[in-house]
Amino acid sequence: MAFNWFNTSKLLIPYFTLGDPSISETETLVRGAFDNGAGIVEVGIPFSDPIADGPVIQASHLRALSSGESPTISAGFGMVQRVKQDYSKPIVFMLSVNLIISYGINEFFNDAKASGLNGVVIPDLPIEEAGDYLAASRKARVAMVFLVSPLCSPSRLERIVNATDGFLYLISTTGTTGTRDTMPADLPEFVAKIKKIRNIPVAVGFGISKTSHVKSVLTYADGAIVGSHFVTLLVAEGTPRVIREIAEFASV
Amino acid sequence: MTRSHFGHFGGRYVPDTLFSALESLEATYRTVASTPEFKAQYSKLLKDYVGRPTPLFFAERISAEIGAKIYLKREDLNHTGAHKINNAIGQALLAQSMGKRRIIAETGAGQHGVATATACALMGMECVVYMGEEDIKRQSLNVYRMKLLGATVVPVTSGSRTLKDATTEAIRDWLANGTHTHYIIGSVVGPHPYPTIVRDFQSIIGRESKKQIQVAEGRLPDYVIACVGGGSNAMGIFHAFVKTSSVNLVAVEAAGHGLDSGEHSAALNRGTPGVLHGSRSYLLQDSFGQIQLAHSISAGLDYPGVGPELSHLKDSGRLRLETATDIEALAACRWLSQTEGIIPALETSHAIAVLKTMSFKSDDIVVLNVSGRGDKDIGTLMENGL
Repeated sequence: MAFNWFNTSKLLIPYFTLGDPSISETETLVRGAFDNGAGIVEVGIPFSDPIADGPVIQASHLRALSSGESPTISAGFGMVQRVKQDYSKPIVFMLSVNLIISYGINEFFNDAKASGLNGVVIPDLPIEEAGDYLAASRKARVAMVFLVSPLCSPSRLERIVNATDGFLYLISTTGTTGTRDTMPADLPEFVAKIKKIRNIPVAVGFGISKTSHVKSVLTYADGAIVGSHFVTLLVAEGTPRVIREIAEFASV
Repeated sequence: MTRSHFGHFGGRYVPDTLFSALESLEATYRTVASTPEFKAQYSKLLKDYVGRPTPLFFAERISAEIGAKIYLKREDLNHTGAHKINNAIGQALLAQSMGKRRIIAETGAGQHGVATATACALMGMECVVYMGEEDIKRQSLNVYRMKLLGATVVPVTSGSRTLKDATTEAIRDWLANGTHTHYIIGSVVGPHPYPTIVRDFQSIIGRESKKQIQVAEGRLPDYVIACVGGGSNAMGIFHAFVKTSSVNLVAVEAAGHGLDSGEHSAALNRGTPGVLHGSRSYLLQDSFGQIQLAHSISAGLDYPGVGPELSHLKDSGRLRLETATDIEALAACRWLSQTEGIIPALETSHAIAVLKTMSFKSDDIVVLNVSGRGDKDIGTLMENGL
């Protein structure tokens, strides 16, 4: 399926956890991000035990889950529906597979479509287990965005690159989400390897925290995903500061 | 060959980053673990270092009281005091053949942590054990043992600060260090091939029991009973009997403050299918899929999930499910101590407790897995006035 979110431009993709610090504040952040140059926004639905995330995102999930609100998938769809009345840029959810199993796979993709959600990243759903999810997502025309790491074997890589919709999410370093000082050097080569299999947009995530990271990633990839850095900044300095940082990152 | 699923359960629900480590573990396991050299090395350590075979003891006094023939499989007599060492030694040998010199593990009660620290000391490997802050408080003796054995114990302060969070933290470490680190999971949980590997290394319990009961009684038992947290001692003793339908497999979960109190660890009894820590199994979770906190007086049963193979055996009607509360487990601990002179671990005490609540015929033969000894629980026993 063609989603054409990137056309020929390079995109900044910020991540926020739904409900950290509140659902309305997350909506403010999504709108502010779009107004200040974000190309796609990724919204994390909080989960009690996220194995793919680092301590910063996990703490963000736990704050959202203990805020007194219910930052559920349904609440996320509600927010998407409100934002999509005013914005056409894509919103994707990032969430653990157990939340979708609990919601129901077909129900999830049907409601995602109805809300206007454009795509889903499920970090703990490997291609080997994804059959039902791919069928439902394609029926609903909601993109299933897969993750790969540079450790991926050639045969799996080919399978994942051919299955992903919207873009491919490249984990820049081994380990979980979180900020790092330097970016690994072998990424450009790996992106080239992906593009050789199929010419799809590649967005790099995990570890981007500086304008210099964004700049260097966008020389060889199509998108730069920034999560932990914005989440940390949000806690320390609040929404306006995060929006300014997004504007700065998006202008590189 | 190993299979990745047990019916609808199991699988490998992990980020791509872990795939190469899991694939290399599976390949090593398939090619190395079945060689005569590996088997000989493993068997020798089980015999000379762990002290196997463990005895199958006819418990005369409780047999007379219950009105059935009760045999106790004495895993508590293993080196380090529980069945966990069977798996720790096996996986440490696997790590050696993969050339990995750094070992990580999660632990709840500390028994798996101690077993892993022991195996690492024996083989000269670095050992890091993740343990919830709450469990560190409850099991200070085992924390000291691990440190004495040369391991680094990392307190886990996220979430509920128990086994569930220690497991998440260990998986995180592995995500970052998988190329040079082997993660020794302590139970039959986690992504494929772990549930199979841990079961295979623990299946010595059932194989020995089967031979021993044949010698003692000339036939197979009517019941095999084991407590279930993640399920490693249960799958260990069940595996040899799964295909013999005349043998009832009794899985005893922790009912904590009662099955209806909402404070228990009975994932098979009260859970619903979902994905936690890399595989699909029965889980304690709310209606949105958020994992709920488990409760049990025994830290080793205090886990909201259960292994995928046990989940499948439940769905195929092969298991008889029983539970015991905190109070019943404490009473059973005292009972076995005073009737047979064996102080069982609080985990094991749950299995002992159902001897009193189940009904048996006088010629029934029962084999119960005494998965560990109770020394580590003395503090909890004293606090509870035992």
